[in-house]
This record gives sequence, C-alpha cells and structure tokens, in this order.
Amino acid sequence: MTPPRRTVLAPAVLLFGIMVAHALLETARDALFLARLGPQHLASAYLAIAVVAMLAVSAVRRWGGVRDPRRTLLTFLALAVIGTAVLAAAIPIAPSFVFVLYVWTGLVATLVVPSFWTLIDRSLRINEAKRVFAVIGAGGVLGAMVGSAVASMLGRVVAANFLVTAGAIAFALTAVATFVLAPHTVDDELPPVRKRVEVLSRQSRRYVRLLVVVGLISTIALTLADLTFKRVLAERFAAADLATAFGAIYTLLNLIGLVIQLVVTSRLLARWGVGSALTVLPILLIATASGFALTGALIAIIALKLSDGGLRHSLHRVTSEILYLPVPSLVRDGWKPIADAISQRGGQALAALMWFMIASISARTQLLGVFVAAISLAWLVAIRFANRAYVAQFRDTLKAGDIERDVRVPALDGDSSALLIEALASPDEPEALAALELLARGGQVPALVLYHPRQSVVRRTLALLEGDLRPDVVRVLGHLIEHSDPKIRAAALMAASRTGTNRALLETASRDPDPDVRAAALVGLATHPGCEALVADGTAELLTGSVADRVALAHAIGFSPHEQFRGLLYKLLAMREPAVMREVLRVLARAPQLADLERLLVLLEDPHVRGDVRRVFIATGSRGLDRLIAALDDPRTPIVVRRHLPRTISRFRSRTASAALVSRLLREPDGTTEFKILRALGRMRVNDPQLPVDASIVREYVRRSISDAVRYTTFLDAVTAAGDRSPSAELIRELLAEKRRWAIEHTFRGLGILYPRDDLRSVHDAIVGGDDSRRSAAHEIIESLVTAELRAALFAVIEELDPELRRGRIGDAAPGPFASYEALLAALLADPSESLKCVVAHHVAERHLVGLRHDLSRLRPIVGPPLVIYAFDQAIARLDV
Amino acid sequence: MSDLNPQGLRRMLTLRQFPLFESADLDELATVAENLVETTIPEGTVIATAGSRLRAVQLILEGRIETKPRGQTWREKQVFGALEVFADREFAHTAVAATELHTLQLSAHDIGEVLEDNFGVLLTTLRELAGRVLAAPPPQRICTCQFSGTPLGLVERLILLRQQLPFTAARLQALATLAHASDEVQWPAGTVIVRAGDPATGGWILIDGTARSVNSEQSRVLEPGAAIGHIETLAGREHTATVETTMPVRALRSSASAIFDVLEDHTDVGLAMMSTFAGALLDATARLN
Repeated sequence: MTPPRRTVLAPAVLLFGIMVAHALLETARDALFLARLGPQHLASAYLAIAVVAMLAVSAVRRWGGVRDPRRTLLTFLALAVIGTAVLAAAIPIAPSFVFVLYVWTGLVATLVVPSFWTLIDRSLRINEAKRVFAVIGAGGVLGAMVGSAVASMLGRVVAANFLVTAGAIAFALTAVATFVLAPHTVDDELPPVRKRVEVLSRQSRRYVRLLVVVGLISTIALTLADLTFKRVLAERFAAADLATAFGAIYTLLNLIGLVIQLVVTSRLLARWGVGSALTVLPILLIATASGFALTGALIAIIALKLSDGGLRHSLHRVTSEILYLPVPSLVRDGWKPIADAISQRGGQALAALMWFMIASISARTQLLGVFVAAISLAWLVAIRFANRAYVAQFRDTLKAGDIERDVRVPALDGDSSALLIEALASPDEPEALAALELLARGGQVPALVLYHPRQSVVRRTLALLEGDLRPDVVRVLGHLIEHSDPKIRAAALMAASRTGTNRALLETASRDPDPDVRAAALVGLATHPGCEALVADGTAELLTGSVADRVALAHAIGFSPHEQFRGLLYKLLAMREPAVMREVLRVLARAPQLADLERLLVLLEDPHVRGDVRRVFIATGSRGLDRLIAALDDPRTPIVVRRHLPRTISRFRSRTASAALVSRLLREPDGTTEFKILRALGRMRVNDPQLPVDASIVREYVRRSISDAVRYTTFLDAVTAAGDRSPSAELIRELLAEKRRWAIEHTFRGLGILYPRDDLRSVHDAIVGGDDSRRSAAHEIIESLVTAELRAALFAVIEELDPELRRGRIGDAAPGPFASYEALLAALLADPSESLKCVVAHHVAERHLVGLRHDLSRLRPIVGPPLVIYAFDQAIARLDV
Repeated sequence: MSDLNPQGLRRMLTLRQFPLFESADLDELATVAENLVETTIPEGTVIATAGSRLRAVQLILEGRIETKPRGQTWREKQVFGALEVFADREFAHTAVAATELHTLQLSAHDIGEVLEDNFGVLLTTLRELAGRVLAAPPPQRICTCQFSGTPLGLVERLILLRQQLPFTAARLQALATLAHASDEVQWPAGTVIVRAGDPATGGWILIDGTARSVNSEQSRVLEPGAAIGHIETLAGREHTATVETTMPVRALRSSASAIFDVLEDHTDVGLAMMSTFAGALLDATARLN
C-alpha cells in the first residue's frame, strides 16, 4: 500500500524548514566561532553542548509534556525562534555570545530534530517508513542544502551575525508550517492487557540502551572525523574566507546527500535491509580514515568528509531512525529524546575529551585518522549486535500481543505439593481430583488418599496408580479389603494377592456379585496352581458379559499383566468397545512386551482410542518407531491410518523420528498427511530446537510452498479478473483463496521448522491478521530470515497488490498470462489439487464450455480418489449431452 | 514452551471447578490458566453496555452479574459473555456487577487462538454448545438444491454439507476432506435409520426420499437436505428421535471419526462451528424473549 501523498510531503516540508534554519545557524556559528575563538575551543563547545543538552532533555522529560510529540515539537520550535532572535541581537553587543551561539545551535538541533522524528515514527509503520523516510530525509537534505547555499550567498554580502537573524526567521516560518502540517498521532499499538507488555517495555528499554551505545560510538567517530576535517580546513583557509568556504563545501556535501537520499537510500534498504545499510558509512569511514592516517593526503580527508556529509543526513539518519521503530511508542516517546541527547551530545563530549587526549599525545593530525578508523571498526561491531536486537525487538512485539502457548506444568516443589495436598481436602470434587492428577503427574500421590472420605477420589487414585502399587500403597490397601466400594475392594484384593493372599479368600471373592472384585480375584488366582479351570470359566463369563464386566477384566489384568493374559487382552480389544479398548491399551502401555504392533497399527484410525494406541507405541520404544516409519513409507498403508502416523512418530521426540518425517516431507503424496508431517516436525522442533533436521530438504519444501502460493495467487487474480459471477466460479475463487492461504501457512510452518526459536507461528498470524503494525513487524522478521530470492515472491503473495504489479514482482514464476478464460481453466484442470480439479470440471460442465472437452479427456486421472475421476466423467457426460 | 507461573497452579485448580474444564487435559488447562487475567470488579460496575462488543469472557469465581432490566443472572462457576464472543455479536443488554466480582478474564481477542491451540478444550466447548443446540434446535432449513439420480460428485457433496448448521461457515478444503471421507447409502421405505437413545456415531443428510422423525414430543417429516445425527455426534449424545424412512431414501453418511478427524486437522472448522452454534443459541434466546 502506498502511503497518502500528504503523509510523505508534509513531514518532508517540515524537515526542509528545520534543516534550512539549522544550516543557516550552523554556518553562522562555524564562521563566527572559528573566526573569533578559533578551532582550539571547539572541543570545549562540544562538552558544553553535551551538558546543556542533557540538562534540557531531563528537564523537558520531567515536565511531562513529551507524551504528545506534536506539542513537544511546536514548543521546541517556539523556543528556537525566541532564543535565536535574542542571540542575533546579543552577538554584535558582546562577541563572547559566539560561544553561547555554538552551544545554542547544538541544543536546538538536539531538541528539535529528534522531536520531529519521534512525531513521524508515531505516525508511520515500519514498511511505510522504509519507503517514505528516504523522501522525508531528502526534504531535510534539501533543506540543509538550501540553507547552506543561502548562507553562502548571504555570507558574501552581509556579516556572519546576520545569518543568525535569518536562522531565527527560518525557525519561525517552520513553526507556523508545523502547526498547520504536522500529523496528529494516533496510538494504535497493541493494547497493554498482558504481563508480556511489561516484559516488552523492559526489553525495549534494554534495546534503547543498545542503540544509545551504537549512537555514542557513531557520534564519536563522526565528530572526530568532523573535527579533523575542520582542523585541516582552518589550517588552509583565511579566517575571512571561512564562511564562504564552509557554505560552498556544505552545499556540495548536501547535494551528494540529496542524490544519495533520493536515488540510493530506498533501494539499498529494500535490497539489503536495515542491518546492511547501516554498515555503509562506518565502512567508508574506516577506509578513508585509514587512508588519511597512512598518507596524510588531503584527498583522503576530503573523501572522509564526503562520506560523512553524503551519508550522515541521508542513509545513516534514515536507518538510525528506522532502528527506533520497533520500540513501543510508550517507551520510545519517553526515551528517544534522551537516547538521542546522550548518543549525540554525549558522543560529542566524549569525542571532545578524546580530542584533548590525542592532542596531548601528539600534534599530528594523522593520529586522529587512526582513532577515527578504530572507532568506526567498533561501530561496525556494535551495528551487528544492534541488527540482531532490532529483529528480536519485532519478535518481542509480536509475542507481546500473542497468547501464551504450550505452557508446561512445572515440577512440583515443596510449596506446590503443599498447595495440592491441601486442595485434596477441598469440598469441591473437581478441584480435589485436579490436585490428585497433578500430584500423580509428579509421582507424589500420597498413600493416605486411599482413606479419603470421597469414594470418587479414592477410585481416581486407584486409576491413576494404574496397577503401580508402591509398598506404602499396598500397606494401606491391605486395610481396605472389606471396603464397601467394590472397586476399592478389588484393588485391595489385587494388592493383597501380590503379598501372598490366601487362596480361599480369592476363591470366595471370585464369586462376588461385583465384576471388579470377581475379575481381581480371577487374575489373582491365575498364578495359583490348580485354579486353571476356575480362572478359565470365570474370565470367559466376564468376556461374554456386559461392557462393565469386560472393563473390569481388563482393569484387573492391568495389576498383573502376565504373558498368559495376552490372548485374553486381544480378544477384549477385538470387541471394539472404546471403554474396554482403552483399558486394554493401558495394560499394553504398562506391559509393552505384550503389544502386537500389527494389530495396534490399524487402531490408529479410531479417534476414541488413538491417544492410548500412541502411548503403547511409545512404550514399545524403537520396535514401535521402526514399525511406524515402515508404515509411513508403505503405500499400502490405508490413508485413514497413514494420516495419524506423523503425530505418532513425533511423540518419540528422537533424531530417528525427525529424520523419518523430514525425509518423507517432499515425497508424501497425500496433502493431509504432508500437512501433519509439517505440523509434527514443527512441534518437535519447538519443544527441542536442538533436534537436528536436514535443513536442505525443509528449505526445498519452503521454496515449493512459496511456488504453490505464487501459483494460486496468480490463478486467483486471473479468475477474479475474468469476472464470471456464476456459483461455480465463486466456488473456484473461494477455493483458490483457501489454497493460497494454505500454501502461505505451509511456507511459514516450513520456516518454523528451520527457525524454531523465531516463533514463526506468531509471524504467520500477524501476516494473515488484520493489524497493520503487527504485519509490519512480521515483515521485518521475514526479511531477516528468508533469502532475497524467495523473499520477493513471498512478499508479492502476502501483500495486497494490484494484480499487474504482483505479476511484475513475481516474474517468470507466475503461471500464464492466459490467452483466454478457457486457457486459464485448462491450467486449473491440470493443477495437482484434487478439490480444485473437481470444482473446475464442474464449472466447465455448468458453463457448457465444450472447447474444454478435449482437456477434460486429456487430464482425466486414471488412478486416484474415485470422486476426482468421477468429477471428470460427470463433466464430460454433461458436455456430451 | 514456557513454565506455568506460580499462581497458575492455583488457577488450574480453580478452573477445574468450571464444568467446561472438568475433563480438560492438564497441559491444556495450564495453557488456558496462563492466559487468564485475575480481576476484581467493584459492585455496580457496568460489565457490558447494550449494543457493545465484549472485550473479554468472564469466568466468575465469586459474585454475580445481572442484566438490566431483564435480570438474567450469572453466578459462580458460570461463564459470562461466551456466546456473544464466539458468535462475534454485540451484547443485547446492559450487564452490571450485582456484587463485588472476582473473575478470571479471557480476552475476546485471544479466545479463538487459545481454543485453536488446545484441541481438547475446543472439543469440550463445541460439545457443550452442540448439546445446547440440541435442546433448542433452530428452525429447519429448506434445502434449495436438487440432485439427479446419479451419485453425487464432490461439488454436490460440498453444497449439501454446507447447508447443514455445523458446516455453514466451514472452509471448502475442510469440507472437501469430509466429502471425500463420506459415502452414499440407500435404504428402502420402512427402514429405521436411527433409534432414539442410541449413541450417535455419525451423521446422514438426505439426498432423495423422505423419512419421519419421531420423539416423545413431536413427529415431523424429513425431506432432502435434512440432517440426522450430526449435532448429536458433535455433542457426544444419544439420538433424540427415531428416524424411519417413508419412501426409498438416498443419504450422504459421514462417520463420527471422519467428522472429528476434520475437526482435528482443521481447527478453523471447529471455531466456525462454535460461532454458528453460538449464533443459533443467541437467536433462539431472542426468539424466546
């Protein structure tokens, strides 16, 4: 989306005005200062500016007016007008005011320029900013150029102190323009509803601190470079000619800056991104400063100044401003003026101190070149950190607006256990049961819960123990053998039979009317010699009884899962009763040696027991994993089973499991299974980012998914342009839109596997969501992850673009253009998507497009889902009528 | 993956007291708990104004919310505003805290994502809503489609499925998966398709022919396009009526496992169903009023 013209032009005009005024003042102050006080006092002036600027920013922040950047800018401009006018009147009276003018010029720049950018930052999003900052910045460069040119011309006809008056007039005009043109800011960031917003603010403040460090280093390097340049110039020119010389040089520099701003900045940002664009100026400074340090040649110092002057207010300014955009306005509005003051004025002060230090070491100007090169190198390193933090800041911004996902129940510490044990006594049964489950998860179910007054709690305890009778539990159960609840009595009986209950007791219990007690007794008796017939008859009776009987039998076997019960367990399983099956599967999970993987594999189809089947497979370890991998690779595996293999395999969380899934990713013919592989791998990698995957396969998958997205987007544009409003054409459009969305989701899931720490899920949600600021943040993260080649195509499909523009951006990767509507439909019939083929075949028949009769015959699948073949046959038949 | 915060454990225990979370998986419960905000609201505070959208669903821990002037009340362990948020509709009345309220809030903006990420909770919520729809069924829709005697193609199946309440807002891809997994069945006249009280194991949509649905309260004729058993299957309930064919019938059958597989693979379908059901329930309430 192209921002409205006013969004770009109004700020450009304002910055133009500010920079005209500043250039007039800057020229006046430099000329007056060097002529009247000399370059030896420059460093002191910088120190004074730093102190005054810091005091001023702190004071302004304390007043609290900084919350509205528009009002702040207007206030500062008004102060600039008044202060400059006073100085214009004072300088002819007392020449010492030249020093004050120097400090004042720096102070005004410190307050006005950052306030302007803070205002603009508030009204633009990152993707807009990247496009329009260059134009806005160009306004500034042009302003500086015009200001310098005017100063140069005026310098020839009037004394330098009149330039100060001109500066005051320029500020006054800009203040009026600001009142009329400055945008009113609207805060549409994420609503601060979650605790993550607080975390984000903390992280943002940390990020701003990093930016201050980068700003400090860059300012030191640039100030030292500037001082070196001025020192050389002061040595070569007469004092009277300095105003004219500075005016001419600054005009040239600004002209270079303007060209760079208009021609280079936007392109460089689009092609290289913020991180790389930031490195251009320090690299040039290292090269030119090193050249000057080594040779002392004038050309080197001029090249240095050209780099500085050409890039500082264009590329460097724009990229530095963009670095602040991921910071929430709540933090940015308050901290940016301070950060700017510290980094600019603090940097200048530090540079001034270094200047003194270097002067005390040696009088040779070349030594300054060594320092500039060294500091620029440090700047380059700092940029690397800043760039990482920049992307992380966007990531944190997205996270702050997201829900907490996959929260883990923590390991129970003393306090947690005490809380849960207290909750066991809750009068609210679900609460007590929840506490019990949480305790069971930590293996901390107290044996005394078996004395709980609520039978439901005791029963649940027994179920959670799943036959795992610890010695303390066995002791307690021993006292419950006469309990009124048959389930508790049955568990007590099983516990007792482990410790050698007498046979008579079990035989009596085997005639109990309750199936749980009877089953427990029969399982207990199975180990007693001579009871075979009793056990066989009893279990046969339970087997042919009610569902409750069979559940009881399976449950009892769970307390003693011996080989001798294998046949019985599979008979129970074959009855296909979910409650019984679940009980049997629990037994098999506890005794995986009894698991028959072939019989279990087909049960993955059943949603009632799928989770339990998965637990059994996991319990069988590598034997189970190998069988699952073989089934995934076997084309004969029924589709209803195959679709549940990826998630089952992923539960193993091993390298073998991830390798098997990755290797299948590009080969899987079934779309649903492919999606499940993708989802399973994504989850595995999020849970364990260290888990290795073959990145080349996943990258190829991402490339393929982007290609799908491109294809469906182009088809969608073409079908929409065709303007057919028939119901079947609407259906095609709807399906294509879904396919496009689906392919984009696949792309992001693939990227999520490659970059599990980057929370690509949030990035995807932001891209497809309706919030522009989140989408912009997501855009930046993608830019840092995806190669330039794929990025162009991906952005072309996710952005709302005019179809022609999109086709231009996609290039040859887009299918078509299509000579006719029929040619488009023929291409759609040839698409791999089965649903799309069916809907298009239906449409062809509905519109009676006989010209496509041949394509239908040619593209009719020979094998595949019956509905797809039928769709083609049906369409051909309708055309032939 | 993040660890549950210290208050989270207590919040999990509290959540369990709500019928909706009684059977939720512990990990899912932990995730839901972590996304809730504990709030105390003074007596008399306006929770919702008539015609406004709710910013959050309130799980009431203590206190009472009442609407004015009708006096509908929500108390402890009840959820306020869920239907409006699911259906993305405005709240019809003004609701105020009748006493000091202690609630757990789940932002309306987050609720879809929380459910999408926690399939068990989504399914339980869907089951609850489907059960309520069964108790207050919306007016039967008139099927506008006509089919020839030939077997249905994918597109006809899509059209037929989309006319059913649970699938009206479902995406085509998901419906295509269900259509592929469904099959056509035929019965002669006088066949009992389902009996009242039998557990629902899937759904049928009549393509041709008619059937009679009889329960203790009423008897009605089912015509082409009418659905049998989908909502009962989603609600995990028994059939509420006996359905017997009155002439030869052709129907599209979708098994419960096919329906639930589609829900698991396309959580957006589940969310769309919830929205449709919630809308139908709000409409039913409006009709009653």
